[in-house]
Amino acid sequence: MSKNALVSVFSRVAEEMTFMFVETLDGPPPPTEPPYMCVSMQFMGPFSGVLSLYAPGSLCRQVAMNVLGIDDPQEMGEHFKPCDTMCELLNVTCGNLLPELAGREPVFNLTPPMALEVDDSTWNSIVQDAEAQGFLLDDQPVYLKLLRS
Amino acid sequence: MAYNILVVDDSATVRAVIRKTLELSGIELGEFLEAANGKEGLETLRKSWVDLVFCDINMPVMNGEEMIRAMREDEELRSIPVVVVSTEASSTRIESLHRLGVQDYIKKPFTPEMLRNVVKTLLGGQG
Repeated sequence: MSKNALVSVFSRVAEEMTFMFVETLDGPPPPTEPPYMCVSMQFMGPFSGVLSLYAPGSLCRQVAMNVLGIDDPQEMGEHFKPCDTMCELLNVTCGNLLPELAGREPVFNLTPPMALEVDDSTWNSIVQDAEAQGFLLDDQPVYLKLLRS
Repeated sequence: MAYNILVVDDSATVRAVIRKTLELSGIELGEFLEAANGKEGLETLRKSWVDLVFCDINMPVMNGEEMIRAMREDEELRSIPVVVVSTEASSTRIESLHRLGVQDYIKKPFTPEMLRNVVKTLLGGQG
């Protein structure tokens, strides 16, 4: 149930926000290069947990450029961090996912998403994690994992 | 007439997208002001003339609901229209925001049309 909701919510949100083609990834991902990013946020309410998103850094830049509607990375400005867009993508996904799981009435408190770089072994672990759901965004892999505590 | 608009959101991406949407919408923009949380938003409101506020709910330091509550308790800020732009979808919280006098609510992800329509309605058909 959680995974079905995650697939449908992330597919819709990612397509609407990034204008990228989204499909689920059930086999091994296409080859990627480090660095890898992990963005995660906590939610507290009738039930609590953590929603995390893992992606290669190159995808973070592409998503940021698509969302901002720019062709040249220089247009982002030197202070703009591409992972901020991934944080927002996760934030919107989480905000849309919780009502699917808990109904429209309960109030959840969400922590602001945090981004950090992860090493190759963390990326390889998430790729093999049966609890994580893989997606392709324009043929680049991204993984989401919902942990309910 | 050019309108001064304040966007309060902890995401630089959202602030940039709203700015771009407004610039492309044909609305005559005066100052485009940005704040990353409710506290910064209140500071900006006390220093600058603002015609319309777009505000997120979940933010660090001071959230959007606290900021709107502080605006409604301030004689000089209480009449400024506020539009909430948030992922928050709980009907309980949306009702509470309407009780605080929020003019409109846009759920993320939003389209440029949604933003334009709200501005057009609130700023008198300039959109």
